[in-house]
Amino acid sequence: MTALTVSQVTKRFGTTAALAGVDLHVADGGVTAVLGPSGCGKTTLLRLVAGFGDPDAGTIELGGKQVFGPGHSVPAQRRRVGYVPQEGALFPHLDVAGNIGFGLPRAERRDGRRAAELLDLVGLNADLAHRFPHQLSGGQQQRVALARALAPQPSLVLLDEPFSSLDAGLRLSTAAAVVEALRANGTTALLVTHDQNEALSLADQVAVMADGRIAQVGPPRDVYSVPGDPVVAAFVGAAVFVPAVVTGLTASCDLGTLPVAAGAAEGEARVLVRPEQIRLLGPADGAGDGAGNGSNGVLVGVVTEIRYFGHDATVQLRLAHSGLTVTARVPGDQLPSPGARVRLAVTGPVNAYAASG
Amino acid sequence: MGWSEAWRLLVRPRVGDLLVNTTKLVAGGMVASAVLGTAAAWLVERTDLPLRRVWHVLLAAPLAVPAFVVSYGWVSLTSAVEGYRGALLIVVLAYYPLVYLPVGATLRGLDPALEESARSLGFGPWRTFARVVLPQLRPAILGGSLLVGLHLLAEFGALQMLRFPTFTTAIYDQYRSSFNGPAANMLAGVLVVYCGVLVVTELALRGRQRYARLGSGVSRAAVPARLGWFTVPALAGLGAVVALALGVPFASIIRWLVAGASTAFPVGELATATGSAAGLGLAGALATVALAAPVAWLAVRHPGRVATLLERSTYTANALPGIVVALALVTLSLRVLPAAYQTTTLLIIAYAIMFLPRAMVAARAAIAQAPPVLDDVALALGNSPMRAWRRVTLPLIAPGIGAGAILVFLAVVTELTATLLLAPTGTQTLATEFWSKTNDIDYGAAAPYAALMVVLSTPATVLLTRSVRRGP
Repeated sequence: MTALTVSQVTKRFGTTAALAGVDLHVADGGVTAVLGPSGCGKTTLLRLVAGFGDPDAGTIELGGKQVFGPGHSVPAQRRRVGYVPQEGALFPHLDVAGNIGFGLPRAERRDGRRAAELLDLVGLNADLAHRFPHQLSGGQQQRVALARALAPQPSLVLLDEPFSSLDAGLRLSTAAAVVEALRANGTTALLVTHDQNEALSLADQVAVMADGRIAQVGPPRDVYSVPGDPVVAAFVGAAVFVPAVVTGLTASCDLGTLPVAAGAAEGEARVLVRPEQIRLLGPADGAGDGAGNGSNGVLVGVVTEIRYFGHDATVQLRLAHSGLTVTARVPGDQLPSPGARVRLAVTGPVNAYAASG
Repeated sequence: MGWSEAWRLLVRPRVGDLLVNTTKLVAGGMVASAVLGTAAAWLVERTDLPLRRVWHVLLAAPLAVPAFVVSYGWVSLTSAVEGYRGALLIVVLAYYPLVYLPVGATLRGLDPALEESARSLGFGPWRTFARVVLPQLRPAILGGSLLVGLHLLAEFGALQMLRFPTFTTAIYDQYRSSFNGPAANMLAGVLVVYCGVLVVTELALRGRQRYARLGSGVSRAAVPARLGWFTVPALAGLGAVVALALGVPFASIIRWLVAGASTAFPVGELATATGSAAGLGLAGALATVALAAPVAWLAVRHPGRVATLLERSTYTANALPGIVVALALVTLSLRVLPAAYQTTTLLIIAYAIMFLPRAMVAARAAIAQAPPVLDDVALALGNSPMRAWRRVTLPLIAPGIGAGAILVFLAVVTELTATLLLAPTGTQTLATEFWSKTNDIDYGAAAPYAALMVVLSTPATVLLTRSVRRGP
C-alpha cells in the first residue's frame, strides 16, 4: 500500500512557481529522502503534504485517502501526519514529557508511560523527561522532536532538514539514531534535505528535486550510479563530464574506449565519470609513453592539485595528450606528489548523455 | 484663529526665551547623559571593577525614582538647585540610566573577537575603543540620548519645581493661568516640531549601517580590562553618581517622612490617592495592552506595508510629550464632544496614546517568542487552530504581554502632566496629591506620596533592566 501519493501538484508564490507538477509515491514503511538544492521547492512540498497550505492544483493522498483534491482539503490537524521541523521547534514552555505528550489524549498525557517509551525509542535517557528544551543539546532536542511527532502514532512522519542545524559530529549520530527509531517503529518517513550524503546514507528511496519537479526517484545506489540526467548526476555527487562519441555499447573519449549502459543514443555525447572510477596505476616512466594518447591503453596525466581528506583524497590531473582535466578519488595512503606524471585507468561502465544538454 | 494671529503668538520674545532654555537643557542633558551613561556602562561591563553586579543595580535604580521626586528631594533641601545648572544636574541624575542600560546591554552582547581582531591589527586599547567599540555603541548611545531628549522636552514636574521654564512648563502655565487655548496650542505646536526634529536627527545620524554580529557560533565573554590605579577614582565617581541620584532624594524623603510623622499621617487620604491611582493604572494598562497586542501581532506575524505603518504610527507617541497629548484631547473633546471633557475615559485614552510604545515593545518581543512553526507542530499533532493558540501561543506570549501591562500600570501611577490637565475634578492620585502638597511647600505632607510612588515603581524598573539585559 502506498503511504503517500502526490499527483501533479503545483504551487505558485506570486510569480515564482515553487512546484511545477510534482508526482511522488511513497510506499509503506521505510525512509524516502527528498533531495534538492535550496529553493527547489522541497520544503513547500512537505508543507503541502502536512496541510499547512493548499496546492494550486493536483491531488494528495495519505494511506489511500484523498486529503487534498479539487474543492476539498483536510485540515492539518486531521491528517495524522507527524512533523519534525528544522531545529526541532520544541515548545519552550513545556518540559520534555510535556512536549512528547502534547499530541496525546489527556489521560495518556498524565501517566507518562508513553513519554518514557518514546524516549527509549529515540535512544534518550528517561531522566530527561523533566528537563526543559533549553537544557538539552541540539541533538537531544531533535530526538525529542521526533518522539513528539511519533507519539500519536501517525501513518507518516515528515522531517524538514532535521539535522542541518547540528554540527558535523552530532549530525551523523543524531541522524543514525533518528532513522533507527523510525525503522524500529515501522513508521513511514519523508525526509527533506539538501545534503547528498545524508540522503544517500539514510534513505531507502531518494527523490531528487530540481526546479519544482521530481527529476528522479530510486534507491540511493541507482540515483548515484545511473543518474537520469546530468543535473541529477552533478547534484548527488562529484562528477566529471567528458565529451565522447557513442557507438553501440561503447563510448570513445579522451579517457579511452569505455563501456556504456544500454540504451544510450548513438553519436555525440558526454559521459559521466565518477572520481572513484579513475584509478592511479603508478608513476609514468620517462619518455617512453610521452604521448600517452590512449592508443596503447595507457593514459598519462600530470598531477595539478591534491586535496587530502585523511581517509581519502582527490587528485586533479591534466591529461598529457589532450589537456583535459579530470578528478580522481584515491585512498589517502597512495598519494602522488604534485607535478608527478602518473598512469591512470577508468574502471566500470559510464553513463552517456546527449551532448547538447 | 487666523494666520496673522498665529504668527503673532509664535514670534514673540517669550517664545525665544523658551527656545533658548529648552535647547540649553536638552543639549546639555543629552550630552551629559551620553557621557555619564556610556562611561558607567563601560566600567560595569568591561572592567575588573569590584562588585560589578551591585553597581549595575545601583546605577539602573534611579529609573525607579520619578524625576519630579528627585527634584523634590533636592529642592526641599536647598534652593540653590533652582535655575539652569541645578536643572541640568537633576535631569541628568534622573535620566542617565536611559543611556546606561542600552549601552550596557550592547557592550555585553559585543563579540570580543572584534576587539581582539583590532588589537591583532596593531591598535592600542584607546584606539580600539574609539575605532571599533564606539561605532558599535553608536546606535545604543544615540537611541538612549534621544530618549533622554524626548523625556526632557516632556518633563514638567521636575522643572516647574526648579523654576526653570521650558516649553512644557510654559504650556501648562499658559493653559492654567488664563485657559488661553490658542496660545498654549501654538506653544505645543512648536514643541511637537522640536520633538520631530530630534527624532529625525537621530534617524539620520544612526544611518543605515548594520551593526550585527556576522557568522554563527556563540560569542565568548570579554576579558575585563584591568583598571589598576584607576580603580579608586572610578569607584569614587560611580559612588558620587549613586549618592547624588539615589542618596539625596531618599535621605530627603526619609527626613520629611520623619518630620511629617510628628504632625499627622493622613492614612485615609493616602489610601484614597493610592486607590484611585491604582484604578487608573489598571484601566490604563488594560486599554493600552488591548490596543497594542493586535497591532504587534499583525506586525510580527503578517509583516507588510500596512502592518508596518500601523506599528510605526504607535511609536510616534514616544515623541509626543504628555502635555501635548493632554492639550490635544482637551481641545478635541471641547470641540467635538464636550461631555467627554474631564472624564475618566478621556484620561484613559490619553494614557493609552502616551504609553502605547511601551506596551508595543513588550507585546512585540513576546509574540516573537512564539514562532509560527510551533503552531504548525501543534496542528500536525491534531489540535484545532483555536486549541493550538490556547495551548501554545497564549502560554508563550502571556508573560511578555503581562510585563507590558505592568510597565504601563506603573507609568500611569507616576504620571503627572496629563493627569493634572485631564483628571475629573476631585480625582486625586498619588502624583497629583504629591504635586499639590509640594506646590504648597508642605514637603512633610508630600513625602509619603513620594515614598509610595518610588515603592510602586521599583518592580517595573527591575522588569525593565531585565528585558534590556536580554538585549534587542
